[in-house]
Amino acid sequence: MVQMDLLFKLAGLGVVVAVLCQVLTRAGREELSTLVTVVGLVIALFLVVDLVADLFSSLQSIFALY
Amino acid sequence: MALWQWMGLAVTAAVLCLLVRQQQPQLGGLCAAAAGIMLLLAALEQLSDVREVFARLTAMADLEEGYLSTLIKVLGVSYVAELAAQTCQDLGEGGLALKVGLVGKLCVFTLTAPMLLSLLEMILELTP
Repeated sequence: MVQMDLLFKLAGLGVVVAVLCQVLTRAGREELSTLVTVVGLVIALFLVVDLVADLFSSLQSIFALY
Repeated sequence: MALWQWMGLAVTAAVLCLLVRQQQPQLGGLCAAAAGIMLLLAALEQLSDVREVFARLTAMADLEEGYLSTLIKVLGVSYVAELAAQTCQDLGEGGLALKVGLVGKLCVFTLTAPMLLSLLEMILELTP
């Protein structure tokens, strides 16, 4: 079926990154919080990239778009 | 019917994106794009039996095989172009979405150009 867990992983990642940024800004380390945001975004991109990859492979196989 | 699962997925994805977009605007857009891609991926399995329908249709109407494959290619190209354009729109890039649509139309035109030529030749043969 459709991978629902990927959606929840993304949402959880977003919440974790948000909490971490809040904690880091409160602790006075603004540069670390931006770093955590970037790392969160990169992890989310990794998750989405393989989803896009198998979408394009199934598209190619169905529509013979080689 | 798998339709209910997809609708449920869309609604939960919308709620999750709302939650994420509040704290992290970039991740919210990404989550929306991921949900859209998942929906289209789910809808793609339904499409695989459309090919047999097209094949039988061309067999019945004994059309040339080339026309069918071009038709399916055009269908695929427009599907991908529309998907990419709307994903760019999700992530807030309106201009990019329009450009992707333009590129899609260009690809469709290059695919159908030979068909246009054969049509014109047929018409010229008819005229005395």
